[in-house]
Amino acid sequence: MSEHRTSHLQEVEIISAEVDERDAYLPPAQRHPKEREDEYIAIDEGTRLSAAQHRTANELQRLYQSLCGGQPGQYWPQALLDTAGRFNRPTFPVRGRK
Amino acid sequence: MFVQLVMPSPGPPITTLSALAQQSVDSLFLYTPLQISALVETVWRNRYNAPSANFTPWPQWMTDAILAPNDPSGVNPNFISGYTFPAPPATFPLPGVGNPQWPFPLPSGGAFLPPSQLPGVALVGGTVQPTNWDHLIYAYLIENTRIFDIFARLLETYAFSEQLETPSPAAQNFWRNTEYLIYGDGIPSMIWNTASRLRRDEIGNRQTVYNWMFGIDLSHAAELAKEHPYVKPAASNRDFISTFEAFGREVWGGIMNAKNFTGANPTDPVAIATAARRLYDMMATRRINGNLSREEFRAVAVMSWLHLAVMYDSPAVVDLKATASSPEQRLAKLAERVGMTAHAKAKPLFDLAQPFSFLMQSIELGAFNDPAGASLLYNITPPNNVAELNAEVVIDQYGLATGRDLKATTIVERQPQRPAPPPRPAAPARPNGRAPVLTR
Repeated sequence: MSEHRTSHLQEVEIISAEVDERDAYLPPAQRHPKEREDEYIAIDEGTRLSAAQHRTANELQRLYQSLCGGQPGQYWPQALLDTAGRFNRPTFPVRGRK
Repeated sequence: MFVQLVMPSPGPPITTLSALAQQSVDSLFLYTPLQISALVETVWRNRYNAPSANFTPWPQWMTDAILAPNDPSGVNPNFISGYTFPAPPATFPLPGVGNPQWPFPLPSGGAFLPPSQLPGVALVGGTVQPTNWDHLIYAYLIENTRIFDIFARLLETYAFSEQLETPSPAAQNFWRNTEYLIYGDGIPSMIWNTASRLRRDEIGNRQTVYNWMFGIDLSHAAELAKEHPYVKPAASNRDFISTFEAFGREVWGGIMNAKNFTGANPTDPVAIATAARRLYDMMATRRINGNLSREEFRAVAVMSWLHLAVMYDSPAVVDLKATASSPEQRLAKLAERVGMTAHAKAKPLFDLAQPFSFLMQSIELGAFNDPAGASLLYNITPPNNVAELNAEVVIDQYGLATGRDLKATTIVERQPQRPAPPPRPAAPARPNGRAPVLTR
């Protein structure tokens, strides 16, 4: 057991030695001054919109409001009218107790 | 256009919206042709993009007098202005005490809604909210269901025979409006009139506009052209479909990989923006200085009127025993009554029409002309996912309606089956009287 553990550690050391900062795709993250050495904070900014994108998104929202109440893909007018129709299946009657 | 007229713009809870929409559309079908004409002019006057098409509608004092005749503060309480009688009769209605236009309950059970109170043109804080209507692609898709031809045949059958049941009073109002506003020649002074002695056939004219904007015909164009010959313009957007399909495939690639943060991501916002820009330019070229705007307005208005009639169990549908749970089923039943058939893909066509219209309007706004804007089409994070939600519906329904799957990486057109080769003719008899030599 001890032999295996030693060899594993050696392998890790070799790999870490081969990694160079220049090979990394992204620049190294800036450390927060209060961050401890062994703590990492991951911030995913993939879903945040830029100011221009916000303007476009708001414009699209206004457009959709003018056309369908601003709820595309969810409440189309025909779906709305169908819900008011008379052919929706009624709730199944509960058999009354004798 | 009429769809937006009966739908409130802001989104109240679904139950309220649904009931109000049905009350509104029931009332809409009961208005007189003049009231509907005034509504049409009012919608045009309050369009959100007024500078893009400078055609002047009827003046507001005129439409107000028609739409709200019993308003005590109205200009003219007597419905039609222009006539002044020197001695009005004693029973002449005073402002605010006119006779109700429709004193009976609506077919759906609600109360009649005067035209000035329709959600689309109702006053909010003293002014009418900016109005909008669908893109021409909406009219193209709705007309492809054959709804226009089916209603024309129904009207014809009503007019010249007794094969169909006598319509109810509410349905008679609907058929009157349909005949004179949708299938009749428009009033020359109205904004939506596009027929003249030069352009006599409105149906043919509409096909020309479809060709102009999208470079395509209706699916039943060959049949239509026999009775309504039309001109195909030499310059048109022939690349529209191929460009749109390339756009749709790229957008789908983005949606598929929206949550892909680790593997190879083929999303290409530049390709989406390039295709969007091409579509934008195609549309903009045809629309310079508001060109074709009235034609689009008319086509969309006509189709939305008919679309509304099959969106629910309207009086006309009930009279013809065509009640059903969806627009395409109602249309199929109506068609059956007059020996016709609706388009086999009527359901995806109905379902595609409005989302496709929204997408085209978004493209024409220029919202996706750059990679940053294009990325909104595959942004799945609420509340900024409205464009993605809509695009996904379009991609789904487009595949169902056309059979061309935008989710496939490459589109392979199905080759028509090769006909069997004609049988080899028998070898002629030899002049020497011997039997022909068999050859393989």
